[in-house]
Amino acid sequence: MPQQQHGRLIRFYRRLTALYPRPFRDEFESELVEAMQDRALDRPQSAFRLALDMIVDIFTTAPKEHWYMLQQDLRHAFRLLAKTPIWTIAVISILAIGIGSTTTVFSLVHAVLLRPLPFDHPDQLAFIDEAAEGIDHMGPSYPNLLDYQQAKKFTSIAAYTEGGISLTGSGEPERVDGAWVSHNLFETLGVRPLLGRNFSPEEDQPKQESATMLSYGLWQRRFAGDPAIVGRAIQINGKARTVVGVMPSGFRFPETAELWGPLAIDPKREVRTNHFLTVVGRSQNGVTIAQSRDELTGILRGIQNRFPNETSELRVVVTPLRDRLTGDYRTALILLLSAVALVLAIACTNIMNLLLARAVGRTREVAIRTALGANRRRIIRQLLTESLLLGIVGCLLGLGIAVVLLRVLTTIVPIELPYWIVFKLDPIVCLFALSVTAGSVLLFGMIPAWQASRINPSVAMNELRRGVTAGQRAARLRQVLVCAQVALSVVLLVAAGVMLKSFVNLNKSDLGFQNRDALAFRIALPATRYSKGEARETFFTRMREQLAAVPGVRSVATSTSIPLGGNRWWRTVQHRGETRTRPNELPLVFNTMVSPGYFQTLGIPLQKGRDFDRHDDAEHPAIIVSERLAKQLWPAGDAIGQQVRVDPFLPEEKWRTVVGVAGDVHLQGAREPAPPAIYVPEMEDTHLQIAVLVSSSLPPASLVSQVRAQIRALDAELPLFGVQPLNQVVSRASWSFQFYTILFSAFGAAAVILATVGLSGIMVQLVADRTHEIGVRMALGASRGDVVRMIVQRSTLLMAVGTALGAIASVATTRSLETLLFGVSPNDIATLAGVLAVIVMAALLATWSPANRASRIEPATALRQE
Amino acid sequence: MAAMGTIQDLPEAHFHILLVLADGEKHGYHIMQEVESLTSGQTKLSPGTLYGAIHRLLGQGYIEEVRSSEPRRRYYAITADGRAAAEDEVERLRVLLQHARTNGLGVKRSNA
Repeated sequence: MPQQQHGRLIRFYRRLTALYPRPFRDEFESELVEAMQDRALDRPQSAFRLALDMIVDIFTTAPKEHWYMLQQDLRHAFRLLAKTPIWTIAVISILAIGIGSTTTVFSLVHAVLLRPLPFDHPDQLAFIDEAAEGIDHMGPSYPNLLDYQQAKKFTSIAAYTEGGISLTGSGEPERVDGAWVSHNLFETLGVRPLLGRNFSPEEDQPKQESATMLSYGLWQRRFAGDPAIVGRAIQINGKARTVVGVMPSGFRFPETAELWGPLAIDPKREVRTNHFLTVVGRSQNGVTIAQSRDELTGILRGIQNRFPNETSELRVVVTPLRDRLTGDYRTALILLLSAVALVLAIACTNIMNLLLARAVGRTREVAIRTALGANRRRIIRQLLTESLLLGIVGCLLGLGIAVVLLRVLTTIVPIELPYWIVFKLDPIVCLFALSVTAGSVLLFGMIPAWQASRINPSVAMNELRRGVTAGQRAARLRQVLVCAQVALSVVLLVAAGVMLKSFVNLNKSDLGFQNRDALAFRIALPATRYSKGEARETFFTRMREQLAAVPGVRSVATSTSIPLGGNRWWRTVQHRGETRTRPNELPLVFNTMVSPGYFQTLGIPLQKGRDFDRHDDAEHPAIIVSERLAKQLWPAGDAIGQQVRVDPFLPEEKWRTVVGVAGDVHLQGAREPAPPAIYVPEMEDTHLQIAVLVSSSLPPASLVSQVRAQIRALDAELPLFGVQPLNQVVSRASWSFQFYTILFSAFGAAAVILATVGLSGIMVQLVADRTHEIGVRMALGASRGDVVRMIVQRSTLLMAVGTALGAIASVATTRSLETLLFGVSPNDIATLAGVLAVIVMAALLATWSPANRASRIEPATALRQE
Repeated sequence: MAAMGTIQDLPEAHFHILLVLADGEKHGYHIMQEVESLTSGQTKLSPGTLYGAIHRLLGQGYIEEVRSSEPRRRYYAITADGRAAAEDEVERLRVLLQHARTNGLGVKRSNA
């Protein structure tokens, strides 16, 4: 090899040694190069081989050296941290709380908003709805669906309706969530049955009530995982059906349904105004939402040309599956994520403070080491390693906290979540936790490390001798950080405060019915044994009589729905004098069919007129309207005696006489205005499934057992379900509020605790720093009171600045909470005042002990501190 | 001899270096050469491996740097602790060898 090339290679090798850790390189660089040189001379080889050898050598040994150094640093850091166990535990705990809570909230966000739905190419799936004025979305009617299914931009379009299904036969009668699905629904979703097959088109015909499919869970639970389940007959709603398939483990669609039957719609009986289906479509690869909507709009236009009366006001709405299923929670979850980020920020600034204090405390050590020749980078590296060790332990502990919190949160949520929403630590969530830890470590580790490395040894030693701690800049930085903590805490506390107030308002708000203690439950009669309306009416009348006879029961009623029960039965209403009859021109009202005694049982006031009685039958059709509707239709006069028709375009609808006006009820929840409502006597068209309401003075447990006994006496094969007092229905309807309120309150509390700890730490440090000065002052005549005042002034200043900043910030940020609030403005003065009070108390708590200690300083001892 | 309780795993490269230093102080490249000849060319220490090992051995106190006649090169010598550690390893190998012979495993003669 020519000399020049040899020289170039050696220089190349020298440059490669930069990959070694600095200390190693400083010690051995020249020798490495020499050894390489000697070896190359002794063993001639091609330039390529030599270069290769060099590269391989460096790349195999340099990582080992780095790893070795890291191990040493970690061991050293561990020993150092173990020397101050309280401080170390404090930092790790704070970090764990910060990381744990952040990871928990992220896991919620991930589970609900980010994790892909468990279907084939879920981004191709969308809900297809129709909208009209005032109604954001409702399902298309069956004839419309048939037309939409001609669309070319969709590979398939399927439909379903949900409902409860009674299982009888083997074992206790049970009521499960079920769905009636078109035969191509599962195919559209891209999920294949585990056993057996999907429904065939032949089975999806009216009157063909022969097939059913089970969920895996139901198969295991009720049929003991019978391997011969496919082909077996089971009792569904009183009729025998054959199981043709079992879906895979974990699959329930939509959301919670465990049992499926064919939709089996009779096209001859369906009209274009009956919007009861939920329609799901899978668009072709590459088709956008806009494109698919445009095509469907074109089809709708064709329908509107042919059937203008029923469909002219409609428009097509296409919503990606995920958006509709979980979109409601998006805002709140993002707000939660922001809130918990603030908590993390407070935790990090707290840790930064603690690290700064400690770094300043180690000035002596660092000064000596620097004087002895340790280079800055090594010092920074070691300090960062300490932070790294704290981070690792904090992260692991934080993950543990997250696991516990998630389990707790899962049990708090009272509703059954869609099956794909599981709160757990999966790889992505863990990755998030690691990133947050890494970011936090860098954040709170860098500044103190950098601070410490800038210590000038001679200056530091001098200052130490005089008992004044070095790092004025560090002290100022810490005070800034504490202000920031207080500010962030104020923001969180205000948010928690307004949410708490909202929640209380929500609970106290008048929903229009007084009797929240009434017991509610649902019953479903099997069609086989109660096919005639008379049979149903007879059963329910007897049931009401039996239940009313139970001692302690005040009144009993039945209805098609209960307030806040999630029902959405809208109909149109026409009054005499209203010439328009087209459905899209008539007012929409909320419809409930009720038995006599409904208003009394629920505690809804009848403003005028009377309740239904036995005379209000099909020959004398009656109706009761809500106050709002009465004012709307007859603003000038009395509603009693007026006449209306419900859904006048339906041929069999007769004119009804208004016999009563009921008070408005917030049927859809406290946050929605009370809708205009009508009540129709139930006995005109008794449904198979109804809600039963019982008002009594009995304790709930004994009432329930009495009710069950009575029903069983009437018909042993009837499952009762949804048994709960009305106030539980009410609180379940607002469960998400409770959820958010709990979390926000927890964050607020954590924030204020951390900030108090932070302020306390600063105050302690301040007193320690200025012990000498205090001694001088006292020797010169300052009283204990003066000293205490000095301390309190400083802490008050910090609190005041922090609170002011926080108040300004909260005015800006709590606006984003508006959608979650109820009856409270985001800048509620009372809440702000309350937060201020909390902060003042926290400040007192933080300052009391240091101020006390400061006042006890003996001047003589203090002055001696040289 | 080092206390029998402290069984510190002595990696092969470290042992070779101690072996080579047992009969006198040497500098880096010299160690490389001797280890290679010792193992009949089977172990060729690269500079990185060599000085990584030297770094460790210095940290463990098994070798030390000594002043040398040549100012340019640094010489290393084995310490008492290092000698003890090497002897432990020798003993360990001797026991193994003994077992091997008892079990009928002969010793191959290499082509000298």
